[in-house]
Amino acid sequence: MKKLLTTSLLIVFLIPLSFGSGYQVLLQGNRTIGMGNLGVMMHADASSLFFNPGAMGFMDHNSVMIGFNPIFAGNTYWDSQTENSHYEANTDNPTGTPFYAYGVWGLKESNFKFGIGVVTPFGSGVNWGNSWAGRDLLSELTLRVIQIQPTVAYKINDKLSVGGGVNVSLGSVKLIRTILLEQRNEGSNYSESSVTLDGNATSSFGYNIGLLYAPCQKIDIGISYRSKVDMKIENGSTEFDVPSSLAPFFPEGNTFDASLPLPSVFSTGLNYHFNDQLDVGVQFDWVGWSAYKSLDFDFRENTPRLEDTSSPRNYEDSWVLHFGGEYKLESNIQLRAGIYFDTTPVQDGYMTAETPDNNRIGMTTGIGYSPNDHLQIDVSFLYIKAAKREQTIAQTIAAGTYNPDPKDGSRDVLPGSYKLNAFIPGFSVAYKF
Amino acid sequence: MKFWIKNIIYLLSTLVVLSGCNPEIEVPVPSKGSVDFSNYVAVGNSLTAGYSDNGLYADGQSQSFPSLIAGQMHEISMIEFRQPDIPGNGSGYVYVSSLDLTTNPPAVSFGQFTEDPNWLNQIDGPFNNMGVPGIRVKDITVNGYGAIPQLNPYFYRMLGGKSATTSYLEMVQENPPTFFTSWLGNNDVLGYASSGGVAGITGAPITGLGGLTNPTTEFKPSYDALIAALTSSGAKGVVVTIPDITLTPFFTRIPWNGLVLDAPTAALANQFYQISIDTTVQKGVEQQVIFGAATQQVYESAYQQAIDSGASDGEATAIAENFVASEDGQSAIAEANDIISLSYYGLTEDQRPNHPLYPAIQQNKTAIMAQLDAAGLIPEFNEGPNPFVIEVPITQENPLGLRQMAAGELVLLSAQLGGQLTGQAALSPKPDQYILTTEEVKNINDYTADFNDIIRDFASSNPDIALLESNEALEDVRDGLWQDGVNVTADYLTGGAFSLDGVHLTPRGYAIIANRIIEVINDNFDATISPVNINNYRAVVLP
Repeated sequence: MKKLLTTSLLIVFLIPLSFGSGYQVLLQGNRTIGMGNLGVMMHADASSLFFNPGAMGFMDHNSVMIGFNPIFAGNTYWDSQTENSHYEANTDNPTGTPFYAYGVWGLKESNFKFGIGVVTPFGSGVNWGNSWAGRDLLSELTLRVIQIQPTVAYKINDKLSVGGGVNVSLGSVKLIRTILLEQRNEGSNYSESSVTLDGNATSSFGYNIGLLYAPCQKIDIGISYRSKVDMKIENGSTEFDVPSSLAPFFPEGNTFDASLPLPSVFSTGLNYHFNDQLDVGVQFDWVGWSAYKSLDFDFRENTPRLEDTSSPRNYEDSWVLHFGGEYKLESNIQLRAGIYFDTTPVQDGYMTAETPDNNRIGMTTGIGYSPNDHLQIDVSFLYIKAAKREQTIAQTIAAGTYNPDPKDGSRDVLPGSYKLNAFIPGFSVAYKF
Repeated sequence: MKFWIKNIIYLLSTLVVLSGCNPEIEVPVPSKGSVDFSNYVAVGNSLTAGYSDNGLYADGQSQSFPSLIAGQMHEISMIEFRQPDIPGNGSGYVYVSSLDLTTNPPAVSFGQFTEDPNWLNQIDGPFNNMGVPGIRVKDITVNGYGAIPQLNPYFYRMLGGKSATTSYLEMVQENPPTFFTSWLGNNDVLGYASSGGVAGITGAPITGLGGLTNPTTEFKPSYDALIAALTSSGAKGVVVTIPDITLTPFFTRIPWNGLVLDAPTAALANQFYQISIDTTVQKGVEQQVIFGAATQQVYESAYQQAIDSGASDGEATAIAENFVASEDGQSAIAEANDIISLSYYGLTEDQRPNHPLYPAIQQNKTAIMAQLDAAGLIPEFNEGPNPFVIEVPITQENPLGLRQMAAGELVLLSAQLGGQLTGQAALSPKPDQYILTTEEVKNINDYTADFNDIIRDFASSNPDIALLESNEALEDVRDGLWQDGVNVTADYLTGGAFSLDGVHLTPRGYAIIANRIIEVINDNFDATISPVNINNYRAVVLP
């Protein structure tokens, strides 16, 4: 029964959507989200397991917490690089459904806390459809990552606690592109060709460590580090829907290998406890996106028309700066607000339809409510807005992602202007004991 | 407490509704400039109609270049654009039925989609797309051009509710445009070109209906009348010149030296032509020498008779010459010819060297063979690519009436479709209808240039008329064009611009033309019409 439940949960929930920069998904605690995603140093709760295992040692209770954050995100494209063009395209993205679940437990008299967390820290779900101008680059992408992290924390004294966990990442990638080639079907009907690549990642391991330091009653300082994980897809399936005259070049049952880095994240932050009602904090994250050099597909069987592909990504490390706070309106009601600035890892000329990224501003608000001593309900709202970003043809040529050679042109990216926004309401329920 | 929960639910639902929208990008508002698009009329031939793959059918017609332009105009102001909609497979058209890309060159075969049973049903106008496949400039004033389907079926079906004698020009006059495009004249050279020049030139002897149009007496007056009709209500428009049709795959697909042979076949071909020419020359020389001997015999006997009856040498010569030229003399020569022939051909091959005429025959034959060889008239084949052998008129210089092709001459795609390029037929001399000689190519270029000068004059003499040089588009495609993620070339089958008939375009080719015309409209009339995305329009459909 238990096994069955886990499986169905995976099926239902494993469709997170890109909303952190790149394909990072920062939705691992709704209290945290409400405060501008400040997580590394705030008062410990079960989500500390993810944000800062060190903080877990300060938890004065045991807890089980689940949370859910449906993502409503959209992208718009305008072909601003073609003279007079007013061609526009919009995504019709599936609603992303990242979730998390934590359980933290320790003996009352012990300084140790043990926990296990299931989170979806990365993912993407973009659907541009199969008729837009860049469908040969991307029609649809679904990237799913789920991490399971057993964690232990140890409170050294009243001022310092450390913690760490090992995480195992599972996931899958599905990518659909069209091939700009028409094939005859029944009678005089025809359709465009396409390729679908679909593969599950082998489990890969990483770690998460952190510490929380409270030098005085007014101040908490947190530091955490989550390691990079290389998600590897082996023997993914390929499906080429091509004219039968081309079928000899696309053998059935061909497979592919690919890998995708899940970058490291270093966070540090400080919380100031003004009084019994007000907390204000600031946090800085450094994300090791420079690990993402290229997206490579290595096909088991190559043919003259099916060669391995390598599309440069050349991401840069990015950073995020958060501000936020919490105000206790009543003893059991907390109001929260925050804002963060999230820089893009995507350099000029490398912006793809899968992550048409730009620097983003996240505006958050939230409310927490405890109907009794055991129950905590948190609701959050997050609105993400990125300024329009124009990728010029010159930038793409300089980056080597666009080659307008009249005889042998090719492209990895689509020049033009992109804009994105996302709205993410969410809630969590925690049971404390 | 309830208060909070209520408000949160309210806020949540509001935000969820708001978030359903994609982000908005500020896109410049397109402008129609100084053009009134409300009644855009496109006059032209098959290229305007959306003809493709040797037929007009619904899918091709719906992607004609005027309808693509109208679609982009429609984004600026609501306009109606009516085409004479053709049902389903329309007139029927060619498709690739099988393609084997694992061989080099790829093995391709074609099929034919049969015509729609209702394609000749007449439709009532007026039409915005006035493209009529096959129409020439010299046809537009002809009354009865579409009277019966056998004349021009495409025009016939557009005459719903009209008199059968209505001319193309009269139909244009009945529906004056506010904006027009005009791309005509291709067929005034195409009929000649696609017949391998057999159709002839207007004014020259043995010229059929498909002959080259006369620029001054036929082309200019008709086109003048058409432009007058189009601009009668002050319309602006774009005229399009005629491209160099000899650069389309129909004329370029097969190179003049496209006869690729292996060494044994080349040797066999050499032997075949050597023997057959030797035999032909031998026969010709024999007949010539025997005929000469017979003539000589009759002449001498007449001369001798005159001398015997007392004539002087001069008188006898005159008498003999007159007799040879006379009817009696000719029948005497024929009689002598028969007798000598019998004496020669009555011998076996082995005995002939003993015949008194044999040395003369051998001497003449050797001289003629040397002459043919020196003139390069004996086909020669080597391993690799060789020029095709073609039929030419028999002349003094070329008594055989055949020769190998030279650079600059063109083999038509119809030769391939006519089975002329495979197997043994590939080695045989090609009839004139499959070939354009240098002279014929020059005729096409000269006439095209004359027609284009007339078309350019319309634009240079009227600021309301802009010009598109279609040959520039064709040259760009020939050089290779990479746009919207697709490569386009003028190659047959794989190039993406030309349909299977090698002359007409694919929807992707028509999209390129649409963008060129949109560019001309934008540049000349201060408009900012958005171009189409060419990857939305298909190339050749593969099986």
